[in-house]
Amino acid sequence: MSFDVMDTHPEAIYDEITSLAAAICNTPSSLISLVDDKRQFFKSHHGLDINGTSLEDSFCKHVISDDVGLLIVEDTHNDNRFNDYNLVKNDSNVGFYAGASLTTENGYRLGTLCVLDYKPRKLDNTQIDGLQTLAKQVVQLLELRKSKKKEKDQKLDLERKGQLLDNIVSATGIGIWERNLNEDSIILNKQAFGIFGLNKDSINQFSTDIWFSLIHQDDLPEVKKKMLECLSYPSVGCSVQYRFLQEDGTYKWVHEKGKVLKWSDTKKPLSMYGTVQDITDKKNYNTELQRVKNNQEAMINSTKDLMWSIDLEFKLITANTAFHELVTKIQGKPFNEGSLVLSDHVAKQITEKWKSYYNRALTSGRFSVKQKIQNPRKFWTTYGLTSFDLLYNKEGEKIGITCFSKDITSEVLSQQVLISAKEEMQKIMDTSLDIICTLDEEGYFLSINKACKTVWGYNPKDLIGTNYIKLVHEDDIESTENSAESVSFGEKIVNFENRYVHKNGTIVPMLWSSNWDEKDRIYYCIARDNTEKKKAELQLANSEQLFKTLVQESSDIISIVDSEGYFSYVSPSCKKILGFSPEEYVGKNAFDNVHPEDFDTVKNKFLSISENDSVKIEPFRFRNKEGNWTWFENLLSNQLNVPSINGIVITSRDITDKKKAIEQLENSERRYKTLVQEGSDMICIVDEKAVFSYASPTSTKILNITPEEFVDTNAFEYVHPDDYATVYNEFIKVLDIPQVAIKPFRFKHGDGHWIWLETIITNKLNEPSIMGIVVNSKDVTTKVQHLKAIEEQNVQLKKIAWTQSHIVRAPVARLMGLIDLLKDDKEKLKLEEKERILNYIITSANEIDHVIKDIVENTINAIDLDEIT
Amino acid sequence: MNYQLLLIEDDPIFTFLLEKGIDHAELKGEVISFLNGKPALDYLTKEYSDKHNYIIFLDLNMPVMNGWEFMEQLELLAKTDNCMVFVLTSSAYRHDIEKLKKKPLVAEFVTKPITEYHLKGIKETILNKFEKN
Repeated sequence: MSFDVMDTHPEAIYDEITSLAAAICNTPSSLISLVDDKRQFFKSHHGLDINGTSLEDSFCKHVISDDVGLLIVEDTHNDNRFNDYNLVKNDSNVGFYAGASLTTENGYRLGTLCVLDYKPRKLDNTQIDGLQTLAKQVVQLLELRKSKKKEKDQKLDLERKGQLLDNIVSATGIGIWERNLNEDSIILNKQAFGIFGLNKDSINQFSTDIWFSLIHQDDLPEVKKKMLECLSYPSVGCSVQYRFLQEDGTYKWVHEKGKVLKWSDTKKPLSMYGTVQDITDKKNYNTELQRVKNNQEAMINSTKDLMWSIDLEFKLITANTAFHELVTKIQGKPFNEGSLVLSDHVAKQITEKWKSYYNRALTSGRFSVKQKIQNPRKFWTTYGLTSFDLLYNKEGEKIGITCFSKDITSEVLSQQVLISAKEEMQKIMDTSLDIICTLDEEGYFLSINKACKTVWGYNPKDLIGTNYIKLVHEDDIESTENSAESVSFGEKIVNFENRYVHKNGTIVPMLWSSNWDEKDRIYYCIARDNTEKKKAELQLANSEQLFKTLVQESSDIISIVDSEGYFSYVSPSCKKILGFSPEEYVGKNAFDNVHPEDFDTVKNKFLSISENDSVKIEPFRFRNKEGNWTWFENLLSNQLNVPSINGIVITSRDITDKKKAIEQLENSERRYKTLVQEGSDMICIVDEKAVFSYASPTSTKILNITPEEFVDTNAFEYVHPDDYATVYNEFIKVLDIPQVAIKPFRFKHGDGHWIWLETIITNKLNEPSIMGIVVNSKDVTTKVQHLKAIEEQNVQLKKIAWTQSHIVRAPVARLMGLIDLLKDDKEKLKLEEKERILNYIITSANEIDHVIKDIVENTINAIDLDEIT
Repeated sequence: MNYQLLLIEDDPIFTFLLEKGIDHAELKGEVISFLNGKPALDYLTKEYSDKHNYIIFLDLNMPVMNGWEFMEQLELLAKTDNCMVFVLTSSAYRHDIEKLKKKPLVAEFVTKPITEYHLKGIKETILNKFEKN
């Protein structure tokens, strides 16, 4: 126990005691000496000007060490314990000591109250009693002092702790209140004021009723109920959340916790304290959370996709509306939560299938399956995608499976369409004779079809990843690159020609169409093997060359005449063309040989040369050596003033062949016109049901039915009933093959009789300009009649042949036999036999005569055509 | 084994020529003449026997039963082992005898008039068939 009295300042009360003790004992000095383990401290020192000494010079220590209540030393110089003390030997010269122990209630000796004198002496009993009473007084004073100090320390401690709590409270934002239930008053801390939105003035008029009036009506019953519970002994406290009205009219969510602090002896609550928190934000957050959750649920339940989750035993945990609806559709009622999700209403293998899916999810985790569902009641196939995933609790333990099933029919179907479109595209690419390829912007092949094998000798896989320029003939590289560049600027290049080098080293002319796709950054190209076209071009060029050569070397005659037309020179080609040699012409007049009908024209043209540099004379006729006419086209050039020539130079071109060809062409055109427009051919267009949409004007002439009358009627209406089946069978063939020739059949003429038509029908249904079947018919009535006549004649001829073989031949054969018999007779025949043979010969000869008459008659009948038609 | 030579011919001159030819060519056997297929068929129906060899000279164009009709009936009756038919035709116009060519009984076609020369060839054919073994 510590009194905390050492080294404290002198205090008046203790000085009064020492002064009193000195007076009682009649000594010059008195001390209150307190001892610790090293020294003694004089709390009060009367008549001695020191406030303490070391333990060696302490008289008091003996009181403590000897554990006595009183120590009196009458002569210090004669006492061995003290005669060496500085206080005794030296200054102070203490000769007498009397000390009373300062003993606490629990017997602890603090020190002494002592009196000192310089000379040895004695104390009477009264003095000793007085000293001991005063010593007790000192102890009491010390005790009092000690308790006072303790109280003060506790107070300080409490204040400190209270401060700390306040700091903590304000830091958490928790409000604190305390209610006095007797007075119906309340105390709030700063935070609580803030939370409730109250000020100190409003608190002064606090009452529970006013408090209640500020609570939201919906929350009040709950608050009252909780409060009542809390105020009933013995309560453990209460917790309640409610809305509290603010000055601005809004409500603030608060969470109050309270506890009764003091109960009266009659178990009535006296005071209550508690905390209050603003939970508006939290509440709003919860509301928001609830709203989101509701939305989610609505979403989950409104979707057509199926969602359900099951536990490890395949019992339903929860499912969305779609799932329940489907199950209800299948088995009449939904699965209850907690019941097994395997239905008895479906085939066993389906149940097994689902079981295996669930087991698979449990063993190997998340997976998806695609299902093809063929509903026999519907006529289409649907596709579903079901995903399974594991369900875990907060501790990460597997607790079930979540399943999600989605109708992906439209996706699958569109995918199928895409695939088939791709396949078709691939088919087109595979079968195309043209090269179809894509190139990236650097010119590397990204894709190419199989045609490259045929055209360039490389397989597609050899080319993909290769730059196209490697295949281009070196002379064409520059132009090709230029072309590629303009394509990349958006220009669409069609019919670009260049040459590629085939794998075998040959050069392949190519014809390109290219397009640059800015979005994909790809060149789309189609290339065609241009070899044949190039060959044709070359051939054309060659034939032109040839033609030129021919014309120049053989068909042109160069001649020079004077202004009157007399030849001074004729080129040697005249011999070949006209038959005369150049020498035969020189000196003659050119006009001698011009056709009389052309003479005037040619002469006028010729004379106009005097005013022109050159004149062209249109084709005219010129006599050759044989007297026939050769057509010439002449070009005259005025060279009369050129000294070396001094004449008119004529270039004559033999255009007889050309003229003939033109005539032929004209003739054939005329023929064609005659045939198509005026001739015996009729051209019609019918649809696949043989309804006319067009008939050529010739129909009027051939059938006496105008084209207008034909249109919209059916061709078969005109066909002879006996020919109907044959014609119909032939007609329907044309729907499958391009062209069908129909043998002559009878077609009703406008006048009512039948005419024979030979017809060729051609399927042009897919040709945009026609979109029908072209019917080309020819009136072959005459031909058919002739054919019939010939057939009849054949029958007659057969008859003749038969007659010949059987009727003519028989008597002849008999005669031959009889003659043979006579010739080889060698005297074997008798006379009457010979006579008989002779008679036979006569009979046979007569017979022959008859037969020949018959033949002549038959033949005349047979060849008479007019009777047959 | 003896031979029966059946002449089926409506023309008496041809029959006469045939008989003379058979005589001159020295074909063995009994000669029996019929005016058409009918009496010949009646005869064979009644008398046909495996013990005889039958050599038939058949004209085609005959009244009552012609050569074709006769052949159809003969096929039902006679065997190729002991029967040969020589068809007599009056011309080279063979269109209507094509169908007879395929018949196994028919040995040869002979164009009229039948001569001794023909018959000598026929004789050889007969001997080849029936006398060789």
